[in-house]
Amino acid sequence: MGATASAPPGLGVRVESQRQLADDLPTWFRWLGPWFVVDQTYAIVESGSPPSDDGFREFYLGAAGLLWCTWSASVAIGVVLGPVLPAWLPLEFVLSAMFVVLVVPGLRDGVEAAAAVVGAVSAVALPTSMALPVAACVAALIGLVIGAEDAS
Amino acid sequence: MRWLTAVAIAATATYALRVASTRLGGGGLPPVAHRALRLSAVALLAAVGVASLPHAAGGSFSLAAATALAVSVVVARRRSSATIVMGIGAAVYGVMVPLVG
Repeated sequence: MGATASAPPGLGVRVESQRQLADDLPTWFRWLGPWFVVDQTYAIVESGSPPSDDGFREFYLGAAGLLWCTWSASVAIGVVLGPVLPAWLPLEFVLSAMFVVLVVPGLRDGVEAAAAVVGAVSAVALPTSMALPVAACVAALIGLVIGAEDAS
Repeated sequence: MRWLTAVAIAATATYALRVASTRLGGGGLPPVAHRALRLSAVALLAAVGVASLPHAAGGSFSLAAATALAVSVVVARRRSSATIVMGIGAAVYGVMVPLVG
């Protein structure tokens, strides 16, 4: 599934996702799990996974497997239905709305909301090729500053 | 055949990166770094979402898309389901396009 992802997430998403997969989990899971990592699995697991290892594996594989099946079926349906759907259907906004669903419900505090705003503004204000790395770096910097203040 | 080779290489490289980042993400990073990475992930998802907004003719930022985005955020904050958020967002966008472009 990962190779066909429409919008590959950046290193921050990747590393944070892999952190979910890395802590005291069996080797087979650490090899299988990364195959299913896309934006959606990261958001689902980050927001709803149980803390225990066994529960986490079941939750992750259940969510990832369901997403993989839905993804594949949706691609097949899109291939068939895409050419016959009427042009007036406002489907071009659905992709952006999907990212809203991934980001907004999972925001935990004001700092994370600020990071989301930084990312959104960067995407508008900067050239497309620069928006993603700049957004990631600025948000990471904010996190480091806030973390340092909390630690002191 | 050349395309198949390219796809196979890209898929293998993507998977290798994910497995390798498991080592990077697992255990060895301090909490501050994890916090920064989570914020980075949030920012990236938001940036990709805004970058994928439909644009008006000529490439300018679409007022209809911005309105639909704002409405979607409000609906999503109410913990609505993904289907509801996407449905309402698309409906608002569809209504706004003929009005404001």
